[in-house]
Amino acid sequence: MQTTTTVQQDFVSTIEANKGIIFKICNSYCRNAIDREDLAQEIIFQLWKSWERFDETYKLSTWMYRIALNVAISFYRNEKKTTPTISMGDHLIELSDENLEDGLEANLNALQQFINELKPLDRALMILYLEEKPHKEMADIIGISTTNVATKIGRIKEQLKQKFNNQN
Amino acid sequence: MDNIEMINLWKQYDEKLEKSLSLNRKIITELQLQKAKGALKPTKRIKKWAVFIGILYVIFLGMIIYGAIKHHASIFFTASIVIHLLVSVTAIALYIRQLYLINQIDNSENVIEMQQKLANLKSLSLTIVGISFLQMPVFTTWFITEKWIIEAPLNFALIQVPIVLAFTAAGIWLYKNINIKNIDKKWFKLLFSGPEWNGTIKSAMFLEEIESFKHN
Repeated sequence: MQTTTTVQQDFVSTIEANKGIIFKICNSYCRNAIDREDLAQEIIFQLWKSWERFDETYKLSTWMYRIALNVAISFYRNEKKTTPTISMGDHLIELSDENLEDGLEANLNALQQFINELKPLDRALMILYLEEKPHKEMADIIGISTTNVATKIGRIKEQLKQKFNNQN
Repeated sequence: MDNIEMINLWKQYDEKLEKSLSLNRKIITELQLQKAKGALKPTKRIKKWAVFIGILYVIFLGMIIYGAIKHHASIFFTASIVIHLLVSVTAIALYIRQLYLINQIDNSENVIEMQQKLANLKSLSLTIVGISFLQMPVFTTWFITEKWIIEAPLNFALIQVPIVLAFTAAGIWLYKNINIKNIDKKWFKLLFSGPEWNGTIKSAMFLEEIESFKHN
């Protein structure tokens, strides 16, 4: 039997190991830094709330994506936080200046902007596609058939292609 | 940008985040403590209060009905209060259902299932409003007396009866029409124009978006 402190530490380690997932989802649903901070806190709070119910027979990433995406979509639709955020003068998300090469940075911004323009459910699908999740796992996270996943991904990619062609 | 370029770009983004992103441990620990304190969402607290006050109100209405029957009050008065009580009980039952659904919320369910539950939960408020309109005629009947009908039958038939019928028709029409299909209608927008309805309306619209996402 694990002690409370061990459980808490395990959780913190899992969050740190998957911090990129949380940040990318927050960044895709909130462009504003304050909202992003609030959303990240809400996601971590909800992950912790579900932590003891996590069934280890399932994939950790599937569980994490489900919660993070559900919280992000609800947050985006409500346009407000559901749990009081903690403000101690510090920030949960700390980003140091680390830029990609100019061309790559511009492409990344364009890609991020494209993602932000998608409808909330398409956005979730696009994030999972970019994370190279297999169609089966994407279907499991979103709750649609694998055939539907393939069709939708195809459509989103087509939109993206047109968007980039128009820009160039 | 082709698919491979796009995925490679995302991988580079990952590497960049790995180097530059850190999460504040102190805040994560605070968030863990918040759960331990059992933070209750304000909406849930408001609904619990609404149910509690609603039950007290229904008890009050029950006492009025008891008094009306005991003192042989007008049948119109008694029937009006009974209808009002039935509608109030239904509204409370729906509030309790909302509380039950809030407790059923599990963020680890798949996105479609979870979002559909959430949107359904919020749009249930529209159903409660629709049902509340069913009691509209009651506000035109509770003061009718047998004496009035006998002493001024023409006035009653020409003025009061059309008013009661109009309120009944309006109540039934609103009950039937307050639903998401009419969201674009002018009267609907007017009725649900306050900021307190924004969330409900958006949820109802999102339900349609979910349906279309599932099937297209």
